[in-house]
Parts: sequence; structure tokens; C-alpha cells
Amino acid sequence: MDLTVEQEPGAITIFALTGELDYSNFEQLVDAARQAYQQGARRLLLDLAGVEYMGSSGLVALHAVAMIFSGQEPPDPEEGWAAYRTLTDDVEGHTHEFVKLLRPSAQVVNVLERTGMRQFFEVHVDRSAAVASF
Amino acid sequence: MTAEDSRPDPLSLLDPTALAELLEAFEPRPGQQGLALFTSRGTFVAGRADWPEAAVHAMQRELTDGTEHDSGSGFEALPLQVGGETAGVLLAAAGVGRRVLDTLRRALTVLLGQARELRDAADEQLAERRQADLFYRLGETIGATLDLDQIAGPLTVVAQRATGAESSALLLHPSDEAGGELLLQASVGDPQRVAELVAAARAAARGSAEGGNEVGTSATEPTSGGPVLTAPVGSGDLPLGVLALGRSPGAAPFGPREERLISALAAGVGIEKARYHGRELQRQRQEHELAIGRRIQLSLLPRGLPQVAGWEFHATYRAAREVGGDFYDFIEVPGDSGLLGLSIGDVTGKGVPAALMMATTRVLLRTGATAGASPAAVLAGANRQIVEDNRSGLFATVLQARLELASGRVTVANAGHEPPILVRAGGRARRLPLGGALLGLYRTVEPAETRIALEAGDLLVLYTDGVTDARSQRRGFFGERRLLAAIRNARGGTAAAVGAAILGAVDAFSAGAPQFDDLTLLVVRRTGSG
Repeated sequence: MDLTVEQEPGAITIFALTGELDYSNFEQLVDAARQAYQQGARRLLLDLAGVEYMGSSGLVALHAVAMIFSGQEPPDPEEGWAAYRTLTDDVEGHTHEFVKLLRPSAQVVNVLERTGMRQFFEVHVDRSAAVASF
Repeated sequence: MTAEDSRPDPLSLLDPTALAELLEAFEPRPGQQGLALFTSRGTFVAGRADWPEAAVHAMQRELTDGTEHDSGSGFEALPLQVGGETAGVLLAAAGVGRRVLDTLRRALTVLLGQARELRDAADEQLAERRQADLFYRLGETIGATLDLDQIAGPLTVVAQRATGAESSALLLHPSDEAGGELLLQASVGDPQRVAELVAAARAAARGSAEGGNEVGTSATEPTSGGPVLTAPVGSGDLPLGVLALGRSPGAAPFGPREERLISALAAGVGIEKARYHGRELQRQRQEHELAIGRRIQLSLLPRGLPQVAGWEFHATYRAAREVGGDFYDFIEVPGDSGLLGLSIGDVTGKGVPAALMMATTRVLLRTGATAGASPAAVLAGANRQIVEDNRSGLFATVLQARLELASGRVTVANAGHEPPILVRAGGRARRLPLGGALLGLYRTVEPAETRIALEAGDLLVLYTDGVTDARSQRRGFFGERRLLAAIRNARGGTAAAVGAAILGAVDAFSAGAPQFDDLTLLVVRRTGSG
């Protein structure tokens, strides 16, 4: 999967992804988000127009990215049984303000809808409208 | 206190709410409370809480000698034995029937046995992984010293002690470049053994120069020496030396555990000098972890299919090379319930964390379903526990069903999973409704339930996205429409024939393209009234 980073005026970061988002590369997306946040990014638009297929690991990545941009470090799968950090109630149940999706394919939208994660993300079809919505 | 004592009680791995529901289901009269579960240490877990003190004390006394008490005391304490250990105690008031008690006790023993297996398997795999990790980091720490010559002594001592070898030796090339005869830097053990190690190490280095750079156990001459184990320090592009271990003649050969440990140690040492090879080692560790995850997962799949009059079942599970996470289960509801539970699901992620999550989810679903709880309650209960414990940020989609074996009625609840497909004997087909959120995301879920009635010849097909996301060279996906067509074409055949037909269609479609995800397929066919 390719990931390119762009900056829009108004401090909005855009990740353009192409290829497939699945178990083999979902961590790449989370690492990139973490890095951007650490460098000061606070608003992220994920341009998914080039993503032909998203597996269930993509859900983990999207959720983790949303948590990072809400100022919370997501849980680390490496910890397994060991306690790391609790999920707070703030993230759950609200549409994310700081991470939005642009032009996800029908397959991606289907997966989000089927698993109940669709409502967390604002979905845009037009890039300038997406940027202006932040 | 031994190491064993500090491991979690199998009973604590089970959901107390589900256990309470299980006990409730066995009470002779609704609302009456004559049953309770305690841990093997006498801590209350579920059921009736208000026993007279005398009852609890007597029970605790009996726990120490593990015998049953039966008399006019008005209660009975039944230890639950799993694998030779007492995993819990069932306390029953007079008035609860013998058969009921025996059935409940059997059910609890099965549950506890599973929980214990899960605990032991997880512990063992984690312990192995942690040990290999420890050795790797140890090697890294030692190797962080700039001069290999300086750490040669400590390294040979660590290697020898940690693996229980009799002798050890570290040989290095004269300079940091490859080539030149290996020279002995440091050793532990008697000079004759060490001389054998030197010979073996030089032979191994010559062998690697020709190709192959692996840890090897060399066979030794019959007249001399015992088993020898060598591991390269450095890597193929930058061989630095060889670390060798030996045992006395006639001793058992070194095994895979020692190979892994010495390999990790040697690799760690070489890492500072060969930093650009770090990525290769990382990949190996990841593959190792994926393999462990896979083993845990496979060990927990059901061994057979239910044999029930009036019904046919078929199950296919195909593991993808790397990815894990699919699971399925058939759950008997004990005590002449006439109910059969069915789960199918898919955990996100890969490797050990995903396999552990899958194992936990499966146990939670099984606990709820064994009690005969409705599928929506099973999912809600499992979700509660998963969210509470979910430090790993993983999720699971699950489809939970309950079959009423005599009537053919099926109740289904769906947490984010692919909805099952229903095909009637006459050919009418539909997909059941989409479900609610997957497990692990929300603190509470209240899944809707769908109820259908299966008649003779009707088919219900449950599957994971490995089926519909199977892809072909031309980059399309198999999809729901093709699945529906395959089922329709095969209806009239047995469940096994329908399963085979679906897989045949998937294989024909993908025509040799690699399988990216686990594929699971369950076919349920009603053949008549039971």
C-alpha cells in the first residue's frame, strides 16, 4: 500500500492511500498517523479513493488513527493479556471530529456499515468540501 | 507459593454472569436458590450467596481433603476435578436432584477443562516467546560492547549456563571481515571437549561459506565427542564467527528449544555489528510469532460435527498462510435441552494477540451458549467481558445461532459479521438481516434477533469473509451473488455436498490465486423432523 502525505492550508493533513489496506500493512497507517500527530498535525483527512479493498485489520487501523487524533494513544496489540491503558468513553459513540474519510469505495463502506463503525466517520465525496468541513 | 499457584484459576476465566445463568437454569424451581459455585480456595463465584456459616466452613474443610460430604446437614459440596486438580466446588442445598447435580457438574467440568486448556496453552506459548525474546535482548546487550573480543568470555559463560551445555566456545574471524580461519576467543569446559567444539565450529563456518547460514547440530565422530550445536554470529553477508555448545558423549542431542535460544543469543550479539540485517531478524521473529498464533488457534477448533437426527452439518476451515482469526464452534446445551448453539466469527489482527483474543472470545461465547441463553444475550455478555479486558484494541465479528432441534426453529444474532444465507428447498433464497456492531467496540451491545423456521431440505449457510473476499487473477471478488448461486445449484444434496460445491465454486473462481484470509464455511441442513 502506498501512503502519501499532503498538507492543506488550515493545518489539515491528508493521507492519500492506494492499494489494499489489510493485515500486512495496517500498522503502516497507524505509524504514519502517530508520526504526523507527534509532529503537530491535529486534523486528518484519509483519501481512500485509491483503496480497492479493506480487510478487517483496516478497521483496527481506522479506530487507532481516530484515537490518536483524539489525543489518546491506542492500545498496543503487543501487550496481549497485560494491562496497558483503558479505552475511555469519550471516543465511543461520537462521530470523530478530527479524522474524516474521503471517497471510500463501496467495499470499504460496506465493511464499515456491517460492523457498526460507519457512524464514527464523516464520509465526503468532494475534497474541498471535506477540507472545509474541519 | 509455587509458580502454579500464581496462575489464574480456570474458574476466573469464565464469565460469572454466565455461570450464574447456568446455575439458575439448573435450579429445580425458578427463583429458588439451592446452588452455588466457589473457587478451589473457597471464594464465592456465582449462585446463592447466603449460606449458613456452618455450610461454608464445612465446605472449606472438605476442600482440603477433597471428599464429598453428604448427610443431614442440608447441603452437599461437590468438588469439580479437572486434570487432577480441584478447579472449583459446587455447593448444593438438599432438594436439588441427583441427576441434575451430576449433569451440572459434568457441564461445569467440561467448561473448566476448556478454560484450563486455554490458560495452559496461552501460558506455554507466551513463556516460550518471552524466553526467546529475553535471549535476544541479552545478546543485544552483550553485543552493544564495541569489542567482540572483550565480551567473548561472558558470552560463552552465558551460553553454556543458560542452555545447560557442558562446554561452550566462541570463535571469531581474525578481523571484522569474512574469511580467514576462525580463532578461538573464549571457552568453557574441559580442553578436549573444547577442541571438538573448535573443529565443529570451523566445519560449520566452511559449510556456511558454501551457502546456508543456519544453526546446526553436527553429527560427531563415533570415537570422539558428544552432541554439538553451532550458531553463526553475524549474518550471511557479514559473518563474524561461530558460537558452539557441547555435551558429553552419550548425552541426549540438543533440541529445538536450545537451537532457538542459542540462535537468538548469537543473533543478538551480531546485531550491533550488522544493523542493516536487523530487518531480516525482525521478520523472522514476526513469522515465529505468527506460527505460535496459528498453533493456538488450530488447537481450539472443534474436532467433529454434531450428530443429530433430522439435521446435517458440514464445516470447512481453511487457514491462510499468515493470517489467523477465524473460528467456529458447535455448542451442546446440556440436560435434554434439545438446543444446539452455533458460533462463527473472525477476529481482527494477526499473530499471538489475535489468537489469544479468538480463544477468549470462543470461551466467552461457549459459556453463555452452554447455559442455553439466547444468542443476543450470549453476544451481549461476551461483549461486556471483551470490552472490559480489551487492552489490545482488537475486535471480533460474530454470528451466534441457536437451533431448536425438534422444531427446526433457529434464532440468530449478529455482531458485525457476514449475515448467513437461507436457501429453502424450493429454491427461494435470502440473506438474513445485517447485524449490529462487532464485539469489542461499544461498552454495551443489544443485538437484534432474527427467528426463522427450517423445514426439510432447507439450508442455512454461515461463512466468513474468506469466502466472499476470495479473489481471482482478474482482480474481482467472489462475492455474495456467486455464493448464493453456488448454494442454489447444490441444494437437494447433503450438507457435505453443498459445502463441497461452494468450495468448488470458490476454487474455480480463484483458479490458483493465493488465499489471503482464513476461510470458514458452515452448512446446516434440516432433513426432517427429529
